[in-house]
Amino acid sequence: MTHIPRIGIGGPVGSGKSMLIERMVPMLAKEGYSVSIISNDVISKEDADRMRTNLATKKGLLPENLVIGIATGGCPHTAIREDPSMNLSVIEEMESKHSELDLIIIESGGDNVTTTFSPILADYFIYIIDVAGGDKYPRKGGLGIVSCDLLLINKIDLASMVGADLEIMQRDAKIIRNEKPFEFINCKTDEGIKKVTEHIIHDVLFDSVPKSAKSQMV
Amino acid sequence: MSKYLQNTSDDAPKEVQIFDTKKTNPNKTSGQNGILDLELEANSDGKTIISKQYSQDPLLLQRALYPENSLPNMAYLYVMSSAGGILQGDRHKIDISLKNNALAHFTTQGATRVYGMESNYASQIVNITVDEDCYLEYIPDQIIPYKDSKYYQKVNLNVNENSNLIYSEILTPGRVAMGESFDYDICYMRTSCKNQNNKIRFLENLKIEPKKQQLQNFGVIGEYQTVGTVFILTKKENVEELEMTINEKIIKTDTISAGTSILPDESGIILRILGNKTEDVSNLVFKTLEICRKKCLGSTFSKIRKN
Amino acid sequence: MDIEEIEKELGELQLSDSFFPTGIFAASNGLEFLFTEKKIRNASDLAEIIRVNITQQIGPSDCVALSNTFDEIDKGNFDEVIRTDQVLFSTKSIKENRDASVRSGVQLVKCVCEFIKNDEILSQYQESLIKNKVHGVFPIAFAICCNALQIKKEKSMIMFLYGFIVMMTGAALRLGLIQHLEGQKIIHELKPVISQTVKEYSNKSLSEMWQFAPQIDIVQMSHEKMDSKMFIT
Repeated sequence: MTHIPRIGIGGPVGSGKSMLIERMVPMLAKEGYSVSIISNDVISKEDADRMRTNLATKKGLLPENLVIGIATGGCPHTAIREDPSMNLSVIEEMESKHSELDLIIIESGGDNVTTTFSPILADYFIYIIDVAGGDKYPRKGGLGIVSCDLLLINKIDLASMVGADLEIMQRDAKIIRNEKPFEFINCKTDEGIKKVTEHIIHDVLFDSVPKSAKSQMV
Repeated sequence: MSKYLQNTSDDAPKEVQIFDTKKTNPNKTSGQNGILDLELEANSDGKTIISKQYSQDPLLLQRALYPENSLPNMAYLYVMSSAGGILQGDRHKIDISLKNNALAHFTTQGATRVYGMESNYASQIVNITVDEDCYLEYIPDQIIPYKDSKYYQKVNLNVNENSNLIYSEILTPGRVAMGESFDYDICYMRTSCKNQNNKIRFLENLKIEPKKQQLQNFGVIGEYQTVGTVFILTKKENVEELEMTINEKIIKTDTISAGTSILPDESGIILRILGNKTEDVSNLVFKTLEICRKKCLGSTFSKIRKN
Repeated sequence: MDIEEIEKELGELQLSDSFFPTGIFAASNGLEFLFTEKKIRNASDLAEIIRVNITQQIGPSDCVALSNTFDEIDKGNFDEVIRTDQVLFSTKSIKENRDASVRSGVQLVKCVCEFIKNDEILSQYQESLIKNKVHGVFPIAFAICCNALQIKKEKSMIMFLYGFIVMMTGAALRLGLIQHLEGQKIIHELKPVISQTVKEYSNKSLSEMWQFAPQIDIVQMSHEKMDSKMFIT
């Protein structure tokens, strides 16, 4: 069975995890990468349904059965951290049936800031927060913010409205991230999303050619 | 015809065997070995006919009828018992085999009455074989287990993956009009389904012992009286859509509760029904039949079955 | 207690710990539907539905299959272990529950294979999983793993039933149906159900498997069709 690279996306409720995926997938698709999405919903399959409608049904970027919602029994952290067995089970099924995939995106349910992805589940961990939580957020730390491979600070357009200082956030993030990358983004306008996909293509996919392109070359 | 003289062992489970007292009291335990052995196939005109038939008392088969206007080739078959029901010590065996594009609806002429038994039990073995491109509806009337009855039913379904079988059973609490309700000793129903290569499609062993189990508990049958089950075996590509359509037709009321799911390996559908009256349950069975006919045969169901 | 005994006992604790990663925390066995439909209202309703689940379904079906797996292992008859897996799988007619059982079973075997390397039956079962010769239904996988940790048949049945009660109680707790003290009270009250079930079903043959709980079937089917849900079953 081939290993398909997986990225985990975590972050507090409402920080923009699903929106980020909805923005990233079209850009990755444009580069030729085929992607599948697993959503660990907290309470409903709403996120999975919306992504399925937007990305699969309307835009046709991926088959509908490749957007999967997993219920987590009210324990979204458990499902991606100490007991990722249900996620792994779904991924194993995908790896055996859909070897054509370049990437699997695993979205966690709304987390608290101490959540991390089990390394056996995700090869790369993106944590997303938003400026509306206040500019103290990066400074406060928390395992997710500190240990993730890429920190994203979303909704920068709201900074002035909530009295958050982006410069303070940048300064604190630099200190707490200790050389590891972070980006300011705005999912609504696609600002910064291109950079996120570049990180993924470079750090997760190691700049490899999409599988579909490879098979065409053969 | 020597193979018909005595029905072979029906491998009844221990819970049923325990009632078999023929060793200690042989006089009281004699029953009949009813047999019905049928083979159906479409003739050169496409009409389904009975190509082979054998029966032994008390089981009888009526002449095939063709009452459905939308499916004039579909044979309607009615089995009946000259004994008026299943009695103590009876060992019945029904074999139905469909081949060569046969199209049939099989039912009983009335309810299956399982009479009260002082000793021994009664059993019925049903073997159904549905070959490629055949279509069978096996829709018997309800089973009525009388007070102190002991009934064992074993159903072996051999269904080709490119054919259709709609199989139903309805179990009532007993002779309610006589004040009997769940007064029987045991009703044990084994159903086993295989495909043309002998691969198991699904298995079900239902054991109901009203005197030992608290049937009225929530979770068993709760406040309901009648239990219905429908198994729909059809081509894999039909399953998902059919299940959705049947599920949409289930309207839950105070008098009926039902659910559907997809059987192992996507090989068919199970419909489980709980209702107060037999009629409530059989109406949902007919509704299901209507949906299956539309999907599998592109045809309608007039619900005309009996005079 | 000698060292060997202590270690065996630790194996029992490890496999029956709710911390053991088999995804059980995400299962409610239809409880979520009952809760949403307000068909279950308090701790005593919950205890009753768990009891009915065990006496009418889990005991005569899952437990009989589990104990048969042990018997066939003892007889050195791996082909019958394969058949037991097939039979139990074929009786699970509700898709959502069947899928969850298989997912948990497969992940359980994978996990135990990480630290038990020298058990022939476990390796054989894992190999059969890879070759699609077995499904990995949870009760069978559980028997295989218990056996690999030298846990005896009856003990495994106790652990299995205890795990089932904890799963449903945990789900009820997270649904807000009961509070934590009530949860432990229920577990305590159901201990006799476990002991009776183990006594009754530890020596039955596979052909004696049965179940009869149409209302639970319908509940589980209805959960499968729920639009928005927090649990996988």
